[in-house]
Amino acid sequence: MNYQQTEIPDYNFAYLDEQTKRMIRRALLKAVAIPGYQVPFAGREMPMPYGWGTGGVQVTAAVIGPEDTLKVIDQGSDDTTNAVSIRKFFARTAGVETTEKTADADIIQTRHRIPEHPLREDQILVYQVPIPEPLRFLEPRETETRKMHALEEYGLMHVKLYEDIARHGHIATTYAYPALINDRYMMDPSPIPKFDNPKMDMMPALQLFGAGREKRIYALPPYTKVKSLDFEDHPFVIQSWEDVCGLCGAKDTFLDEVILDDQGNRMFVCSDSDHCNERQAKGHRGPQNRDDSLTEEVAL
Amino acid sequence: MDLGPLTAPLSGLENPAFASNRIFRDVLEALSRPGTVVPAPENLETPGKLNRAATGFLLALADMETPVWLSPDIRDIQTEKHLKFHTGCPVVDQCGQAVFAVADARTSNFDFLNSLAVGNPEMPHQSATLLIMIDGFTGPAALTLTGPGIHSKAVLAPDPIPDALIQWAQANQRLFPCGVDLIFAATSSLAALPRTTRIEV
Repeated sequence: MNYQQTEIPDYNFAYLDEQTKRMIRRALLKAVAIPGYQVPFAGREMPMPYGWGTGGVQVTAAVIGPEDTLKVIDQGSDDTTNAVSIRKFFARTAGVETTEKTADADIIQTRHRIPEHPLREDQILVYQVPIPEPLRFLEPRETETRKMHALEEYGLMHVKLYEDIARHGHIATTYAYPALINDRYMMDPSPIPKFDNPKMDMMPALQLFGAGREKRIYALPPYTKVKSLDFEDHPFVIQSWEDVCGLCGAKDTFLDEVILDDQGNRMFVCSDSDHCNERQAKGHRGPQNRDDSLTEEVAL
Repeated sequence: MDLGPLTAPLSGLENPAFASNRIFRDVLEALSRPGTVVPAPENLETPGKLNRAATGFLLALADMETPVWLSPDIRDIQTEKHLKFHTGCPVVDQCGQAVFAVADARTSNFDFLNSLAVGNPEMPHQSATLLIMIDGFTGPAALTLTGPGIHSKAVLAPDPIPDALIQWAQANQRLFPCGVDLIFAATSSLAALPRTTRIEV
């Protein structure tokens, strides 16, 4: 469907009215100019509940144009409810092309993952963010966290990570892992697994973050330094698995654990469904997917 | 207020939803990759002394929430009427109140630069965006740019580029996270220097 050819559209292009889009666009421009700083914006009610990506949807609606191709993922997957409903929302209100292929997308809206396929300079990654303030669970008052950001006073977060080490022997934070942006602002990368944090560092693509309920927008320009917090004697490490993907045999992707029955059987599969399908199409097979010709032997 | 002789207003953006999206995306590209020169809208009527890039920027991003300040040398009744008619933006006398400030590199007096809003450490986004109208990006002196958005190094040669503006922009960078974001609006193209960009002559 081409939006421009429809007779009388039910909504303005991409649902939001032009004044709202201008307000969001101005917030986005300031967010890009101050990497990692949360810009307040007048978040609107969207036709979906808070927690379903209303922030990301508003950012996408302000950014997307009729020529763009959109991909939406939820925990890496293109075919879960949240991803399907947001993709349909924009197909209907903006008439844009949608895709499940990371490489074919101009704009990728994501909930809680960064695609495994490296992103390019001409792509924009839009994150759905539930709690944008990394210090919120340590200091509930906005007046105080705002002051802490102004003074670059992030000792509290280091204490939190230190307490992790004292109690568990290692930093137990595994998702929404705080990072320092361009040596200045501490930023919550949204609840992506810490596995994805290194991908944000010096990423060629522009990264935009929208928090609908909290009404905050922030951004990472391309090629911006993103340093995950750590200690000299407890350096930042990402998750690793002893298993491989049961379907495609990948050893270097983020894996989801799937319980198969009540006998304790389980399998691991790539969280990024597009990446996994692409590998299977190339003939890669994992241990639970060995019915036909094998092109890759998986050592178990 | 004297609105001057009654003349038909110039037209604004054709198909505003799509045109303003295109302009915004180009500005977003320019600000997120400092030094990148992006095209200005084609076939756009320009009031008074505003050029195409500056007119397109204001029509796409200004509205009743964004006071606009025009340097006295480029402020005239036609420009003011045009902006108010198409965007509803207030045109203010004090540049410190402006969300968008516009000046011309050839003709403006740059004494106003230090009066622009730079935000404060708790609210650094409450700062002005400054549009400087220039001829193009083939000037004799290239600025070397580093900072977020730039892979290693970028060069930009705005023409003309007054010394006062370079010195101010270098001092502006040191105010981070406060500071003004600078847009160079040439006739047919646009580039940006956000407050994060370090500038060497």
